[in-house]
Amino acid sequence: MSKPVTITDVKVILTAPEGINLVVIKVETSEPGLYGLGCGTFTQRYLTVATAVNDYLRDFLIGKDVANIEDIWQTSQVHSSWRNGPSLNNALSGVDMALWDIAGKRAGMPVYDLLGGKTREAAAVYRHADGKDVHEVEDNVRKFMDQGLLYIRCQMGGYGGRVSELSRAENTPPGAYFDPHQYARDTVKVFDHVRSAIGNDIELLHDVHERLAPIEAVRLSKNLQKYRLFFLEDALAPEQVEWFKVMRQQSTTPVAMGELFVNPQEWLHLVSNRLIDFIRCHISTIGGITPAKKLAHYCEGFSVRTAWHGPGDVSPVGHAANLHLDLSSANFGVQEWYGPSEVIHEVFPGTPELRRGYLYPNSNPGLGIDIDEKLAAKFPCDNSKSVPNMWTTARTRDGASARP
Amino acid sequence: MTKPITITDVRCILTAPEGLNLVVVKVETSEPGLYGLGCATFTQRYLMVKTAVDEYLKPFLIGKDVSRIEDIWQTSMVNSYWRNGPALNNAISGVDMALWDIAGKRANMPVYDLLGGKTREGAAVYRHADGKSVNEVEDNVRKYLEQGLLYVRAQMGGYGGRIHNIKSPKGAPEGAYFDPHAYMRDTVRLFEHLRSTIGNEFETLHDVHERLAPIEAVRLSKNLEPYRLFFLEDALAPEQVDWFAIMRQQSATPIAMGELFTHPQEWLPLIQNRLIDFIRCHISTIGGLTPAKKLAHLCEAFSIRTAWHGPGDVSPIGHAANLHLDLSSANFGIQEWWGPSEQIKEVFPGTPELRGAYVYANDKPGLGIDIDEKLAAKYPCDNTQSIRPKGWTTARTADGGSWRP
Repeated sequence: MSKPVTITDVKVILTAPEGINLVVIKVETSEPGLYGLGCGTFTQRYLTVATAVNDYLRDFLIGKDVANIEDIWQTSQVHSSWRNGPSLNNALSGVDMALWDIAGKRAGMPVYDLLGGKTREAAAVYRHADGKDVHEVEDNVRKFMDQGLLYIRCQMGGYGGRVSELSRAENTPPGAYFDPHQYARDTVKVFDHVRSAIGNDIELLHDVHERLAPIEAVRLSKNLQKYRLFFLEDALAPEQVEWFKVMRQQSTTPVAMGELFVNPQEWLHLVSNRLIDFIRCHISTIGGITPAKKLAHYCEGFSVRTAWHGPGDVSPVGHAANLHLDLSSANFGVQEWYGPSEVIHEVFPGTPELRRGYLYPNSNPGLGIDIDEKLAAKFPCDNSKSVPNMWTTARTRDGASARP
Repeated sequence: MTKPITITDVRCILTAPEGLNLVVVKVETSEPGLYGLGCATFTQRYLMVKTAVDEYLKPFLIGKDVSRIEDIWQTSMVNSYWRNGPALNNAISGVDMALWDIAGKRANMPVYDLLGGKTREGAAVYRHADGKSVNEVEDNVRKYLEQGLLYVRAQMGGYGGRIHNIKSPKGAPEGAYFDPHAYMRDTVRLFEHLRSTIGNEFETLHDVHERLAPIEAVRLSKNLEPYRLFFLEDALAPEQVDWFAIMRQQSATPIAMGELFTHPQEWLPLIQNRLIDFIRCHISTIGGLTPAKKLAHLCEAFSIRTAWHGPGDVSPIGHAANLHLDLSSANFGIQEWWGPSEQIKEVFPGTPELRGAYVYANDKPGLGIDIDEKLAAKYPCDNTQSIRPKGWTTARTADGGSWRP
């Protein structure tokens, strides 16, 4: 038996090449030059992830055999006794993805080959088209179509449809104000316009981002039926997922859910009761590739497809992990994609590439992505933006807090 | 309109008077001398809670009106967008309890009076009796009964019963090894012994601490029926709560659950389907007094009683918060109690007192508890104890497989 390759260090790399705070974990090994990278990005609380890695996981993991990915996942998760939260899961994800990266490098194979091999050549993606009015949204949809995109998410005025002229109560505190009713009306108008102007030969999606009361979300889903959405995203807050039963009784608009999920109790029932059509967790926030692959398999049993969360607050390492899952999953649905800037490509060589609607991996061993640490250091994270009244402090007219 | 009192600082106080790392949050205000204290103890990851408070909650909260407890709770929860995890919930709890403490001090009332007033004079508690043999456990149960306790939890060999000779394959990794089957057999034997030697005139409890496969937990619950437990605690891992439906079909042993809960989806189905009898969350880990009071009200509608988690890794501030809930809740069931040492009472003046079977509150305004910061600083936290590879959280069975503890 050969001597095991062991973990010698676990490092946190914080970088913000696009102004969004990203967390990348680097696992170094006893084999010279062999290391792995993982995404641990919880952008709103990235320093809690850094503490979890630097003060807890690192010491727990040094000396462990890099081959024992499952055991490391299980023991790391329960080591804190309390578990299933976003900070701890992201820290664990950083290590988990890095260990899969290392396993691929040791095998000389891309990670998708360790996960069962390609089931498709590339992953179809959707992009995000917004605008101040229905015409601007239409223009932006057409731009993406000209680029070859097959799936486009349409929003108007940002999530929940930010409005400037609003009858706010006196002395209301700062916040991201919106009017759920105006938003629901406007959204139907957008799809009415886009379908009549552009036609039916394009898949359209929409993200409620939890901005409606449950029965209003049901009503929106029903009112959107005639515009044939590919899916409606995050129509309910994760605390209210049982309302999907009511939505299911009334509407055939496909349902995608899961961006905010951190706990298996959020998804188990939705999947086994066939209440959703697409699972779209942020895979670092559920703990990495290990739980995401299991979740994909669980969903496959119920013909629920994957649509992993893929905005700019997933690092390119996380996007690469999404892509390896997409390519190797029989029940892949669609992949959200954010359009990385040039500078991100420079900091993260090997970032997957979008060509005519599809995202392609490279065939390098492991996750196929690297980080230029010197360059990454030129884009330091800035914690001051995590705190003020940003979009997460959603409020309605009278000043009451809403779940964003 | 008078000028609102605002938050001027939010600080973490880390202290370990009994060797357990505790996190207390102190909220200071624009009114000279007015401050509040809250418990934010996630002992296994206490430095994460500190980061959450120092780097995020503090700048978010400074300048806010101390009377806006509900709005601060709601906006703090969603400010991170991702939520409902143990590190962030504990940080929010520290602030939330401190704001209730401040509200009580401003009203010149104990917090239980802000929560609807006393429904009882003291909270009945249970203590924890362990031992290496049935006779040693019996002795320890008798000691508590002699002290006046009415409820005693009985365990043998620690959680999962780590007193067996376990044969593992060569090369099995470090861990806290246990044998679920031997543990189960021992537990039935233990209660048979206690009931036959001590009798039926006391309430006894047991904590599985998630050491059994689901159907084995159902079997244990059924096999313990003749010994009339007050309740069986944490028989299943929080990821496996749906199995309580099967336990319910087969056994009348009352069920207590919730120590590890961090998310409403863990408790909502259990309560609305009447699958448990006692909710026993660690209230700082669900976010403080605000969500705990709501959870107690939700449970009351289903005649489910409270039994908030109360071990040594809750700070005395958290124990005081438990007690204010206990006293003001119509559906109070029982309170876990750990037996504070003399030095912890010195660090935390106003720590609730156990006399006979009951814990009593003082009638001071707010939570009625303080911290001696200078003395607290003499017991610094030690993070190395969080990592121990053989610690109880790295539970393993004979072949080396990891187990959810």
